[in-house]
Amino acid sequence: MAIVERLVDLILWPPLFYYIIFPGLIFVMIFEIFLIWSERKIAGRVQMRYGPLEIAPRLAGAPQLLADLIRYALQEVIIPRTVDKLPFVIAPIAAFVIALMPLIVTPFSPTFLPVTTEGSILIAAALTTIPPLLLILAGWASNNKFSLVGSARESFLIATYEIIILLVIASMSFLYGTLDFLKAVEVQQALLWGILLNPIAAITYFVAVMMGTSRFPFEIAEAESEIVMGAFTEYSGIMFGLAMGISYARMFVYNIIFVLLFLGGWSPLGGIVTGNYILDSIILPGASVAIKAVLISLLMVFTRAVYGRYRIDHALKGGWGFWFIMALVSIGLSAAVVYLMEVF
Amino acid sequence: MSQQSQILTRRLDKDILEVFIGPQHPGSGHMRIILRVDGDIIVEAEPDIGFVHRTMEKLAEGREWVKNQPLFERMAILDAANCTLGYIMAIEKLLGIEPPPRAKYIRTILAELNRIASHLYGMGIFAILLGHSTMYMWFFGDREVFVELAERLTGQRLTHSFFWPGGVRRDLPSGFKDELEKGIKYFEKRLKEYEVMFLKNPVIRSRLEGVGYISRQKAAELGIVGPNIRASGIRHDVRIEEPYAAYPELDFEVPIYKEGDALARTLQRVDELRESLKILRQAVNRIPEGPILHERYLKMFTKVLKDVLETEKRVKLAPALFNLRPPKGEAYARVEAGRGEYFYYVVSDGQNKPYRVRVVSPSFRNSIVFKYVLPGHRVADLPAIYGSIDYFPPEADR
Amino acid sequence: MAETTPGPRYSERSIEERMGLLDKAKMHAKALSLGMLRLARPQRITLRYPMERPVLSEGYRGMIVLNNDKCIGCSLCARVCPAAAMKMFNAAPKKLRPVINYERCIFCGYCVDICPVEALYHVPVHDLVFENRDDMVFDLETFTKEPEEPEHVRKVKVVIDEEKGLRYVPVDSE
Ligand code: SF4
Ligand code: SF4
Repeated sequence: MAIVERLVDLILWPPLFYYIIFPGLIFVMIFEIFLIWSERKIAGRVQMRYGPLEIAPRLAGAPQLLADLIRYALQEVIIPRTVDKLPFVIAPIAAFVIALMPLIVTPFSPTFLPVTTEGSILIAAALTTIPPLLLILAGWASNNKFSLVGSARESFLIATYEIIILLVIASMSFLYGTLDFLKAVEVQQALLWGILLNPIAAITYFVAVMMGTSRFPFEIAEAESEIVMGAFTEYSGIMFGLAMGISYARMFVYNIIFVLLFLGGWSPLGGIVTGNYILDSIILPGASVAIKAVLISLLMVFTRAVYGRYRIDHALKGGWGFWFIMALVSIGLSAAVVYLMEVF
Repeated sequence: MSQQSQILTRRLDKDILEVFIGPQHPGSGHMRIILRVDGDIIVEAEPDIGFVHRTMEKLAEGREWVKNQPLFERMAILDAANCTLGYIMAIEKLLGIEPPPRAKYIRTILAELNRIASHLYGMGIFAILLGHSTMYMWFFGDREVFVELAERLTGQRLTHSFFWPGGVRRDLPSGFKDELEKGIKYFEKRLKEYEVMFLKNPVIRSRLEGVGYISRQKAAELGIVGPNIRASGIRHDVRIEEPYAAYPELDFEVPIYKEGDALARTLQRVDELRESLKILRQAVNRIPEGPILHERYLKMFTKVLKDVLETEKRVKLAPALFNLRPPKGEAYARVEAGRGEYFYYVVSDGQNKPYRVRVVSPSFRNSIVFKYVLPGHRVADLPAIYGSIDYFPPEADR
Repeated sequence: MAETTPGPRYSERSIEERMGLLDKAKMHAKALSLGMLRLARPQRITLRYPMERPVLSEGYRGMIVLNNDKCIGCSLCARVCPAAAMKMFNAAPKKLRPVINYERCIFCGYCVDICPVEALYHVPVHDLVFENRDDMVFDLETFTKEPEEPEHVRKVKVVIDEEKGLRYVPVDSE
């Protein structure tokens, strides 16, 4: 039995558990499978049909995504002769890995976090900006006109949504007076959830994230009817599956940040004390963060059923002409709230 | 760089990229549009059609007259009644006969069912080109109602082959009127939802407003037809200009928009759907009693044929119809189909096969738009323009 | 009679003004709430086809069956067939009979309509599966037999409905 104990210890060894299981790779995988399935189900319900169903109709077609994954995994990965091989192969893999990196500083409970730092918000915000650059690289390396156009569009969009996201995050850290997620959540628990303190910031962040993770109506960099698959036109097999997963992984990370900044982090479940360490410090708070993040993600994928896609110049115009201003307004609002808090 | 990793290139102007949209592209039909783009702006567009050319006109010369009906309906299978009606009408002109009133009404009913189905199909493709998957499903789902109605009338969902020279093949089935009424009521409700989801959806609006503008003058110059020209402010509808079937007796409006952009074309089509519902309603209510085939052929019916007509309301193909030998001469007919005007010109040399059949299909006329309207737009506008023109390659290529 | 009807005519219409910011917000909200409504109360028209089969409408132009006793061997059906799917052959000396090739048939129903003795008729089946292409060329024996309906599938009747568009009402077999 010693082996079993050793194994359990190994699995629960915090770094391993954190990176591989929750909220790391495995959890993100499950999250993606669930999210893509529910995206298709939601779209199906709105669109007078069932969505995935034929594989296990009793489970409402839930294993469909697993089946797709298996197919991707077994498909040949074609690397065209004309691509620049090294960046072509590395870009999506690196993008996926880096997309998950912000998780090293996002706490899931006051005690469950691998790296304690004063600047966790800053680090997370900085890390989220890297994957899109790799997408541009992927498109550039593909040596395909559609990929090129996709990359170009992505690079236009980055400039827009990153600034908005960063401004909104800045406005929230200004409001909470900290650059640390832990303190931000503490302030929210003491005061009010961020979404109530600064609703403009919340909405702006929400839209900017949709823009950043190519959700409808901002699914511009992959617009199928225009540029086939954007930067990933030349990918096939598991590489394609991975490339598809990047935007969902990024959405997940962004939404974790959303939960921590606007939705009170691990409250309300985090407050329950049962005496069991694992239950108290991981499962309950972790679950409340994750569930909130999933709900926000579901809301984001729901828009697929309602919108078409914008043209790139509309998105840019909307981004710079409206949401950028909203982001500035949200900073003003934060200042007002801070002032009010000091007065009272 | 190794020799292997070079791709063939052709010199273009500096900074001009040549992009081939189609024929294997998720956003093109069976056609190719060669774009030359400067950054994101199209500077030149070359519609390259002909990928589904099937030599229909030549094939038609080797077949007996009625046998060409199933052939021609394969031009635009989703608009089968409208695109074969012209051919049948041209034959009738050669023969010098007119179908009886009831047959005319039935033709009108099927033509309008087809028009609705065809518009819905076109707009469904349009919606998915704009990335709106819900409207794609909704348009296609609701189209099913009309396809189902057409099936009850003709016995086939799409390839109706429903006309005989001088009449139609079947009478209205019993209970058709109520079913049609139900379908119309359902669709009227849905039209309101389309408005919210698609026509007034700000995202779709911003994609369509001012995009693909065709001025009145340009539309006339290019000679485009159908909803596209009516959205550019030109009054042209064969149903009014050269009335056929039961149209002159029905009360409906043909909407004309002046704006000439993709939005106007879309709204024009939706308005036409409304008018089609009006036509259908009137047609089933006013349909006169009477024969559904010209008496010249009814007289030749044997007992078996008459029995079938009486009991099953099915007009059998009298051998005389099959062995049709229209007198020497030529005739033409025009029909307003979903995508515009079909023009048939047939020549008979007195044989049992046509000497020549010339078809001018609306999509063929509209294909020119790509060349003159796309330049100056963004690449992202291509789907909006392509979809709003409602171009259907098999129809253009014949 | 209805003399008052104005008949077909053109009517000039125009697009209303571009939407302002408030209108846009309103339409966004409307579209989203319509989507939510449909999410909560889906209105599906999917027919789960292989598991459920629709009863085809009366007079559906489905597969064709020959009534061998009625046929007089006049060859009209083979002559009229626009797809050259029907061919005559000598079933016995002086006894011509048609056979059909479903690889070519386009279900136009011309053959059924031209037969002077009603020897051909449609059956409401359109979806037989063949294991190879040779099986699609029927011989006299298969051509005179009605194709069997698959069992253990639910049969549904397609009803046009004011609320849902199409509704599928199960038909209780027996
Ligand atoms: S249905 Fe048409 S294609 Fe088929 S055999 Fe009969 S005539 Fe030929
Ligand atoms: S038309 Fe009828 S009677 Fe004549 S050969 Fe064909 S099936 Fe027999």
